[in-house]
Amino acid sequence: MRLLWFALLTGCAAYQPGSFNDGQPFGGQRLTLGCIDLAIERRVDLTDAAVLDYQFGNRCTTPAPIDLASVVVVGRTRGGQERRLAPYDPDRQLQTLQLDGRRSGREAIAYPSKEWLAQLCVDAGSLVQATTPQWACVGEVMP
Amino acid sequence: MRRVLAFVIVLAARPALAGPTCDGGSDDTSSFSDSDDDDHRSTEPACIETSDVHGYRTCTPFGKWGRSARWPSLFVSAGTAMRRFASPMSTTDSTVTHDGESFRYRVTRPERAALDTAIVAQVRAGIGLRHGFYGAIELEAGGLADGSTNPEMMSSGVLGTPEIRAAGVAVLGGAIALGARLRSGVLDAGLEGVAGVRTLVYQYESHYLACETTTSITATTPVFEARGRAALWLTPFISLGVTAGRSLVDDAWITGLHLGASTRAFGGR
Repeated sequence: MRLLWFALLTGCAAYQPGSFNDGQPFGGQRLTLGCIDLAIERRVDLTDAAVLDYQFGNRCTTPAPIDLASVVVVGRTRGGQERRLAPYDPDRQLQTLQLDGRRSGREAIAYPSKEWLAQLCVDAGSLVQATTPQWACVGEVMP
Repeated sequence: MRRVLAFVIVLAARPALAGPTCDGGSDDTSSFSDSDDDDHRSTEPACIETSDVHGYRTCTPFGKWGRSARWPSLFVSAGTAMRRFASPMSTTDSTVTHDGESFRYRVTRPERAALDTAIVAQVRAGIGLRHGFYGAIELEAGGLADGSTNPEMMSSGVLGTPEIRAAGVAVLGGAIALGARLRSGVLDAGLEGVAGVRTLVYQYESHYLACETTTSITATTPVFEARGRAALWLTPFISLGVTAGRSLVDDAWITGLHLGASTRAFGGR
Protein backbone atom coordinates (compact mmCIF):
# COMPACT_ATOMS: atom_id res chain seq x y z
CA MET A 1 0.00 0.00 0.00
CA ARG A 2 2.88 2.32 0.81
CA LEU A 3 4.27 1.59 -2.65
CA LEU A 4 0.94 2.44 -4.24
CA TRP A 5 0.87 5.80 -2.51
CA PHE A 6 4.47 6.38 -3.47
CA ALA A 7 3.73 5.63 -7.08
CA LEU A 8 0.59 7.76 -7.11
CA LEU A 9 2.38 10.70 -5.54
CA THR A 10 5.43 10.46 -7.74
CA GLY A 11 3.21 9.92 -10.77
CA CYS A 12 1.71 13.32 -10.25
CA ALA A 13 5.22 14.79 -10.13
CA ALA A 14 6.62 13.28 -13.31
CA TYR A 15 9.15 15.54 -15.00
CA GLN A 16 7.84 17.13 -18.17
CA PRO A 17 10.54 17.38 -20.87
CA GLY A 18 11.69 20.93 -21.49
CA SER A 19 9.75 22.34 -18.54
CA PHE A 20 12.83 22.99 -16.36
CA ASN A 21 10.44 22.71 -13.47
CA ASP A 22 9.91 19.94 -10.96
CA GLY A 23 7.50 21.81 -8.79
CA GLN A 24 10.10 24.52 -8.40
CA PRO A 25 11.49 26.21 -11.50
CA PHE A 26 15.12 25.43 -12.31
CA GLY A 27 17.21 28.56 -11.76
CA GLY A 28 20.39 29.69 -13.46
CA GLN A 29 21.80 28.66 -16.82
CA ARG A 30 19.69 26.11 -18.67
CA LEU A 31 21.01 23.51 -21.07
CA THR A 32 19.69 20.40 -22.73
CA LEU A 33 22.16 17.57 -23.17
CA GLY A 34 20.72 14.40 -24.65
CA CYS A 35 18.11 13.13 -22.24
CA ILE A 36 18.95 15.64 -19.52
CA ASP A 37 17.51 19.11 -18.98
CA LEU A 38 20.07 20.80 -16.77
CA ALA A 39 20.24 24.09 -14.92
CA ILE A 40 23.35 25.34 -13.14
CA GLU A 41 23.13 28.19 -10.68
CA ARG A 42 25.76 29.69 -8.48
CA ARG A 43 24.83 30.39 -4.91
CA VAL A 44 26.26 32.84 -2.47
CA ASP A 45 29.69 31.48 -1.55
CA LEU A 46 30.40 29.84 1.76
CA THR A 47 33.33 31.25 3.71
CA ASP A 48 35.83 28.96 1.99
CA ALA A 49 33.96 27.49 -0.95
CA ALA A 50 31.92 28.36 -3.99
CA VAL A 51 28.61 26.53 -4.28
CA LEU A 52 26.88 25.33 -7.42
CA ASP A 53 23.28 24.24 -7.55
CA TYR A 54 22.63 21.54 -10.13
CA GLN A 55 19.04 20.87 -11.11
CA PHE A 56 18.28 18.18 -13.64
CA GLY A 57 15.32 16.43 -15.20
CA ASN A 58 15.28 13.37 -17.42
CA ARG A 59 13.43 14.01 -20.68
CA CYS A 60 13.57 10.35 -21.68
CA THR A 61 11.69 7.35 -20.37
CA THR A 62 14.89 5.41 -19.70
CA PRO A 63 17.52 6.12 -17.01
CA ALA A 64 20.36 8.53 -17.82
CA PRO A 65 23.66 9.04 -15.95
CA ILE A 66 24.38 12.05 -13.74
CA ASP A 67 28.05 12.19 -12.84
CA LEU A 68 28.58 14.76 -10.10
CA ALA A 69 31.74 12.97 -8.98
CA SER A 70 33.76 13.78 -12.09
CA VAL A 71 32.03 16.82 -13.55
CA VAL A 72 34.77 19.25 -14.61
CA VAL A 73 34.53 22.62 -12.84
CA VAL A 74 36.99 25.44 -13.40
CA GLY A 75 37.12 28.64 -11.35
CA ARG A 76 38.44 31.96 -12.68
CA THR A 77 39.99 34.38 -10.27
CA ARG A 78 39.57 38.12 -10.60
CA GLY A 79 43.07 38.14 -12.00
CA GLY A 80 41.98 35.85 -14.82
CA GLN A 81 43.75 32.74 -13.63
CA GLU A 82 42.00 29.39 -13.92
CA ARG A 83 41.80 26.86 -11.11
CA ARG A 84 40.50 23.32 -11.52
CA LEU A 85 38.10 22.73 -8.62
CA ALA A 86 37.28 19.55 -6.75
CA PRO A 87 33.98 19.01 -4.95
CA TYR A 88 33.79 18.99 -1.17
CA ASP A 89 32.98 15.35 -0.43
CA PRO A 90 34.32 14.48 3.04
CA ASP A 91 32.59 11.09 3.17
CA ARG A 92 33.33 10.20 -0.45
CA GLN A 93 29.68 9.75 -1.31
CA LEU A 94 29.76 11.35 -4.74
CA GLN A 95 29.35 8.85 -7.51
CA THR A 96 27.71 8.44 -10.88
CA LEU A 97 24.02 7.70 -10.43
CA GLN A 98 21.28 6.96 -12.89
CA LEU A 99 18.41 9.40 -13.01
CA ASP A 100 15.30 7.41 -13.82
CA GLY A 101 13.14 8.28 -16.79
CA ARG A 102 10.91 11.33 -16.30
CA ARG A 103 12.42 11.95 -12.89
CA SER A 104 14.22 15.02 -11.61
CA GLY A 105 16.69 15.88 -8.92
CA ARG A 106 18.88 18.60 -7.52
CA GLU A 107 22.15 18.77 -5.65
CA ALA A 108 24.12 21.64 -4.21
CA ILE A 109 27.87 20.97 -4.34
CA ALA A 110 30.55 23.07 -2.66
CA TYR A 111 33.93 23.65 -4.36
CA PRO A 112 36.54 24.77 -1.82
CA SER A 113 38.86 27.52 -2.92
CA LYS A 114 41.31 29.73 -1.08
CA GLU A 115 40.86 32.47 -3.65
CA TRP A 116 37.82 34.53 -4.46
CA LEU A 117 36.41 33.19 -7.74
CA ALA A 118 34.78 35.66 -10.05
CA GLN A 119 33.43 32.98 -12.36
CA LEU A 120 32.78 29.25 -12.30
CA CYS A 121 32.69 27.29 -15.55
CA VAL A 122 31.20 23.81 -15.70
CA ASP A 123 31.69 21.26 -18.45
CA ALA A 124 28.07 20.16 -18.50
CA GLY A 125 28.98 17.45 -21.02
CA SER A 126 31.09 15.73 -18.36
CA LEU A 127 28.12 15.79 -16.00
CA VAL A 128 26.05 13.65 -18.36
CA GLN A 129 29.05 11.65 -19.61
CA ALA A 130 28.82 13.16 -23.09
CA THR A 131 31.83 12.80 -25.38
CA THR A 132 31.98 16.49 -26.30
CA PRO A 133 32.45 19.21 -23.70
CA GLN A 134 29.79 21.87 -23.29
CA TRP A 135 30.77 24.74 -21.06
CA ALA A 136 28.45 26.86 -19.00
CA CYS A 137 29.81 29.74 -16.93
CA VAL A 138 28.19 31.52 -14.02
CA GLY A 139 29.38 34.67 -12.32
CA GLU A 140 29.65 35.46 -8.66
CA VAL A 141 26.55 36.13 -6.62
CA MET A 142 26.46 39.01 -4.21
CA PRO A 143 25.06 38.20 -0.78
CA MET B 1 2.90 -9.38 15.72
CA ARG B 2 1.85 -12.36 17.84
CA ARG B 3 -1.75 -11.18 17.66
CA VAL B 4 -1.59 -11.21 13.87
CA LEU B 5 0.06 -14.63 13.90
CA ALA B 6 -2.60 -15.93 16.28
CA PHE B 7 -5.32 -14.56 14.02
CA VAL B 8 -3.80 -16.27 10.99
CA ILE B 9 -3.48 -19.55 12.92
CA VAL B 10 -7.10 -19.38 14.03
CA LEU B 11 -8.26 -18.63 10.48
CA ALA B 12 -6.19 -21.46 9.07
CA ALA B 13 -7.53 -23.85 11.68
CA ARG B 14 -11.14 -23.18 10.75
CA PRO B 15 -12.75 -26.14 8.96
CA ALA B 16 -14.02 -25.72 5.43
CA LEU B 17 -17.54 -26.48 6.64
CA ALA B 18 -17.95 -23.82 9.27
CA GLY B 19 -20.81 -24.14 11.68
CA PRO B 20 -20.72 -21.84 14.68
CA THR B 21 -22.98 -23.05 17.46
CA CYS B 22 -25.18 -21.04 19.78
CA ASP B 23 -23.43 -21.99 23.00
CA GLY B 24 -21.25 -18.96 22.92
CA GLY B 25 -17.97 -19.04 21.05
CA SER B 26 -14.85 -18.15 22.93
CA ASP B 27 -12.26 -15.71 21.66
CA ASP B 28 -9.52 -18.10 20.71
CA THR B 29 -7.05 -15.33 20.11
CA SER B 30 -6.97 -14.29 23.75
CA SER B 31 -4.76 -17.17 24.78
CA PHE B 32 -2.15 -16.07 22.26
CA SER B 33 -2.26 -12.37 22.96
CA ASP B 34 0.64 -10.50 24.33
CA SER B 35 -0.11 -6.90 25.08
CA ASP B 36 3.39 -5.59 25.43
CA ASP B 37 4.44 -6.34 21.83
CA ASP B 38 4.77 -3.68 19.14
CA ASP B 39 3.94 -0.87 21.53
CA HIS B 40 7.44 0.58 21.63
CA ARG B 41 7.88 3.82 19.77
CA SER B 42 11.15 5.45 18.92
CA THR B 43 11.84 8.53 20.94
CA GLU B 44 14.82 9.70 18.87
CA PRO B 45 14.49 13.34 17.83
CA ALA B 46 13.99 14.07 14.14
CA CYS B 47 17.10 15.05 12.20
CA ILE B 48 17.15 18.76 11.38
CA GLU B 49 19.15 19.98 8.37
CA THR B 50 21.14 23.14 8.73
CA SER B 51 22.32 23.13 5.10
CA ASP B 52 21.28 21.45 1.86
CA VAL B 53 24.83 21.55 0.46
CA HIS B 54 26.42 18.15 0.01
CA GLY B 55 29.08 17.53 2.63
CA TYR B 56 27.46 19.97 5.03
CA ARG B 57 24.05 18.40 5.34
CA THR B 58 23.60 15.64 7.87
CA CYS B 59 20.19 14.06 7.35
CA THR B 60 19.87 13.38 3.62
CA PRO B 61 22.50 11.23 1.90
CA PHE B 62 23.79 12.05 -1.55
CA GLY B 63 21.75 10.87 -4.50
CA LYS B 64 18.28 10.44 -3.09
CA TRP B 65 17.06 11.40 -6.56
CA GLY B 66 18.82 8.37 -8.05
CA ARG B 67 17.23 5.85 -5.72
CA SER B 68 14.34 4.81 -7.97
CA ALA B 69 16.68 3.79 -10.80
CA ARG B 70 18.33 1.30 -8.45
CA TRP B 71 15.04 -0.48 -7.78
CA PRO B 72 13.60 -3.00 -10.16
CA SER B 73 10.58 -1.87 -12.09
CA LEU B 74 7.62 -2.48 -9.79
CA PHE B 75 3.97 -1.91 -10.42
CA VAL B 76 0.69 -2.15 -8.57
CA SER B 77 -2.86 -1.92 -9.77
CA ALA B 78 -6.32 -2.00 -8.33
CA GLY B 79 -9.58 -2.45 -10.11
CA THR B 80 -12.78 -4.32 -10.53
CA ALA B 81 -13.72 -7.27 -12.71
CA MET B 82 -16.71 -9.26 -13.72
CA ARG B 83 -16.28 -12.99 -13.90
CA ARG B 84 -18.58 -15.56 -15.46
CA PHE B 85 -17.94 -19.18 -14.61
CA ALA B 86 -19.67 -22.48 -14.14
CA SER B 87 -20.77 -23.05 -10.58
CA PRO B 88 -18.41 -25.36 -8.74
CA MET B 89 -21.29 -26.34 -6.45
CA SER B 90 -23.08 -29.58 -7.14
CA THR B 91 -25.59 -31.23 -4.82
CA THR B 92 -23.86 -31.22 -1.45
CA ASP B 93 -24.83 -32.47 2.00
CA SER B 94 -23.56 -30.77 5.11
CA THR B 95 -24.52 -30.20 8.74
CA VAL B 96 -25.40 -27.27 10.92
CA THR B 97 -25.21 -27.36 14.71
CA HIS B 98 -27.61 -25.75 17.16
CA ASP B 99 -26.88 -26.12 20.88
CA GLY B 100 -24.93 -29.29 20.34
CA GLU B 101 -27.62 -30.79 18.10
CA SER B 102 -26.50 -31.55 14.57
CA PHE B 103 -28.81 -31.20 11.59
CA ARG B 104 -28.16 -32.40 8.09
CA TYR B 105 -29.02 -30.17 5.15
CA ARG B 106 -28.66 -30.48 1.42
CA VAL B 107 -27.76 -27.80 -1.05
CA THR B 108 -28.85 -28.02 -4.66
CA ARG B 109 -28.15 -25.65 -7.47
CA PRO B 110 -31.18 -24.38 -9.42
CA GLU B 111 -31.23 -25.36 -13.07
CA ARG B 112 -31.04 -22.00 -14.81
CA ALA B 113 -28.05 -19.92 -15.82
CA ALA B 114 -25.24 -21.88 -17.38
CA LEU B 115 -22.67 -19.54 -15.82
CA ASP B 116 -22.62 -17.69 -12.53
CA THR B 117 -21.68 -14.02 -12.45
CA ALA B 118 -19.32 -12.58 -9.86
CA ILE B 119 -18.18 -9.00 -9.29
CA VAL B 120 -14.77 -8.81 -7.65
CA ALA B 121 -12.28 -6.19 -6.56
CA GLN B 122 -8.77 -7.01 -7.69
CA VAL B 123 -5.34 -5.88 -6.59
CA ARG B 124 -2.09 -6.94 -8.17
CA ALA B 125 1.56 -6.24 -7.63
CA GLY B 126 4.30 -7.20 -9.99
CA ILE B 127 7.79 -6.76 -11.25
CA GLY B 128 8.92 -5.82 -14.72
CA LEU B 129 11.48 -8.12 -16.28
CA ARG B 130 13.62 -7.68 -19.36
CA HIS B 131 12.30 -7.34 -22.89
CA GLY B 132 8.78 -6.42 -21.80
CA PHE B 133 8.12 -9.53 -19.75
CA TYR B 134 6.59 -9.25 -16.32
CA GLY B 135 5.33 -11.31 -13.41
CA ALA B 136 2.57 -10.43 -10.97
CA ILE B 137 0.61 -11.70 -8.02
CA GLU B 138 -3.09 -11.03 -8.04
CA LEU B 139 -5.68 -11.20 -5.27
CA GLU B 140 -9.40 -10.70 -5.59
CA ALA B 141 -12.45 -10.64 -3.39
CA GLY B 142 -16.08 -10.06 -4.14
CA GLY B 143 -19.44 -11.68 -4.32
CA LEU B 144 -21.65 -13.66 -6.60
CA ALA B 145 -24.15 -11.39 -8.31
CA ASP B 146 -26.33 -14.31 -9.26
CA GLY B 147 -26.13 -18.06 -9.01
CA SER B 148 -27.30 -18.79 -5.50
CA THR B 149 -28.14 -22.28 -4.27
CA ASN B 150 -31.16 -23.80 -2.58
CA PRO B 151 -30.60 -25.30 0.85
CA GLU B 152 -33.10 -27.64 2.49
CA MET B 153 -33.04 -29.44 5.81
CA MET B 154 -32.73 -33.19 5.68
CA SER B 155 -33.13 -33.98 9.38
CA SER B 156 -35.14 -32.85 12.40
CA GLY B 157 -34.44 -32.48 16.09
CA VAL B 158 -36.54 -33.14 19.17
CA LEU B 159 -38.01 -29.63 18.95
CA GLY B 160 -38.60 -29.50 15.20
CA THR B 161 -36.67 -28.66 12.05
CA PRO B 162 -34.42 -25.61 11.64
CA GLU B 163 -35.16 -23.12 8.90
CA ILE B 164 -32.24 -22.59 6.58
CA ARG B 165 -31.75 -20.05 3.81
CA ALA B 166 -28.97 -18.85 1.54
CA ALA B 167 -27.14 -15.73 2.73
CA GLY B 168 -24.86 -14.83 -0.13
CA VAL B 169 -21.75 -16.18 -1.78
CA ALA B 170 -18.31 -14.69 -1.26
CA VAL B 171 -15.72 -15.06 -4.02
CA LEU B 172 -12.03 -15.09 -3.15
CA GLY B 173 -9.15 -15.71 -5.48
CA GLY B 174 -5.41 -15.61 -5.85
CA ALA B 175 -3.25 -16.11 -8.89
CA ILE B 176 0.10 -15.51 -10.46
CA ALA B 177 0.40 -13.98 -13.89
CA LEU B 178 3.26 -14.08 -16.38
CA GLY B 179 3.06 -11.95 -19.45
CA ALA B 180 4.64 -9.68 -21.98
CA ARG B 181 3.76 -6.16 -22.97
CA LEU B 182 4.49 -3.69 -25.71
CA ARG B 183 4.20 0.08 -25.55
CA SER B 184 3.62 2.59 -28.28
CA GLY B 185 3.53 6.14 -26.98
CA VAL B 186 0.96 6.30 -24.21
CA LEU B 187 -0.68 3.03 -25.18
CA ASP B 188 0.26 -0.30 -23.70
CA ALA B 189 -0.90 -3.76 -24.70
CA GLY B 190 -0.01 -7.17 -23.40
CA LEU B 191 -0.84 -10.84 -23.20
CA GLU B 192 -0.52 -12.95 -20.10
CA GLY B 193 -1.13 -16.39 -18.73
CA VAL B 194 -2.73 -16.69 -15.30
CA ALA B 195 -2.76 -19.63 -12.91
CA GLY B 196 -4.41 -19.67 -9.52
CA VAL B 197 -7.38 -20.73 -7.46
CA ARG B 198 -10.86 -19.38 -6.88
CA THR B 199 -12.77 -20.11 -3.72
CA LEU B 200 -16.51 -19.64 -3.32
CA VAL B 201 -17.89 -19.48 0.18
CA TYR B 202 -21.63 -20.26 0.14
CA GLN B 203 -23.13 -18.90 3.33
CA TYR B 204 -26.37 -20.04 4.94
CA GLU B 205 -28.36 -18.78 7.90
CA SER B 206 -30.09 -21.35 10.05
CA HIS B 207 -32.83 -20.62 12.61
CA TYR B 208 -33.86 -23.16 15.19
CA LEU B 209 -36.26 -21.85 17.81
CA ALA B 210 -34.46 -18.83 19.36
CA CYS B 211 -31.11 -20.00 18.10
CA GLU B 212 -29.62 -18.39 15.01
CA THR B 213 -26.37 -19.43 13.40
CA THR B 214 -24.53 -19.26 10.12
CA THR B 215 -22.81 -22.03 8.28
CA SER B 216 -20.94 -22.16 5.02
CA ILE B 217 -19.78 -24.52 2.33
CA THR B 218 -16.53 -23.79 0.55
CA ALA B 219 -15.73 -24.82 -2.99
CA THR B 220 -12.30 -24.21 -4.49
CA THR B 221 -11.43 -24.60 -8.15
CA PRO B 222 -8.21 -24.06 -10.10
CA VAL B 223 -8.08 -21.18 -12.56
CA PHE B 224 -6.06 -21.13 -15.78
CA GLU B 225 -6.67 -18.16 -18.00
CA ALA B 226 -5.28 -16.35 -21.00
CA ARG B 227 -5.79 -12.62 -20.81
CA GLY B 228 -5.25 -9.55 -22.89
CA ARG B 229 -4.57 -6.23 -21.23
CA ALA B 230 -4.55 -2.75 -22.68
CA ALA B 231 -3.75 0.47 -20.87
CA LEU B 232 -3.56 4.18 -21.44
CA TRP B 233 -0.80 6.03 -19.57
CA LEU B 234 -2.48 9.02 -17.94
CA THR B 235 0.90 10.22 -16.66
CA PRO B 236 4.32 8.55 -17.07
CA PHE B 237 3.63 6.62 -13.88
CA ILE B 238 -0.16 6.15 -13.77
CA SER B 239 -2.23 4.08 -16.20
CA LEU B 240 -5.85 3.20 -16.75
CA GLY B 241 -6.46 -0.17 -18.32
CA VAL B 242 -8.89 -2.88 -19.30
CA THR B 243 -8.58 -6.64 -19.14
CA ALA B 244 -10.37 -9.40 -20.97
CA GLY B 245 -9.64 -13.07 -20.66
CA ARG B 246 -10.90 -16.56 -21.11
CA SER B 247 -10.39 -19.74 -19.20
CA LEU B 248 -8.17 -22.34 -20.78
CA VAL B 249 -10.06 -25.21 -19.15
CA ASP B 250 -13.77 -24.27 -19.32
CA ASP B 251 -16.16 -21.60 -20.54
CA ALA B 252 -15.35 -19.02 -17.87
CA TRP B 253 -14.33 -15.52 -18.85
CA ILE B 254 -13.40 -12.24 -17.25
CA THR B 255 -13.51 -8.54 -18.08
CA GLY B 256 -12.13 -5.81 -15.89
CA LEU B 257 -11.00 -2.25 -15.42
CA HIS B 258 -7.95 -1.20 -13.42
CA LEU B 259 -5.90 1.78 -12.34
CA GLY B 260 -2.19 1.09 -12.20
CA ALA B 261 0.95 2.75 -10.92
CA SER B 262 4.56 2.01 -11.79
CA THR B 263 7.87 3.00 -10.24
CA ARG B 264 9.34 3.41 -13.74
CA ALA B 265 8.18 5.79 -16.42
CA PHE B 266 5.66 4.01 -18.66
CA GLY B 267 6.36 0.77 -16.79
CA GLY B 268 9.99 0.65 -17.83
CA ARG B 269 11.27 -1.34 -20.76
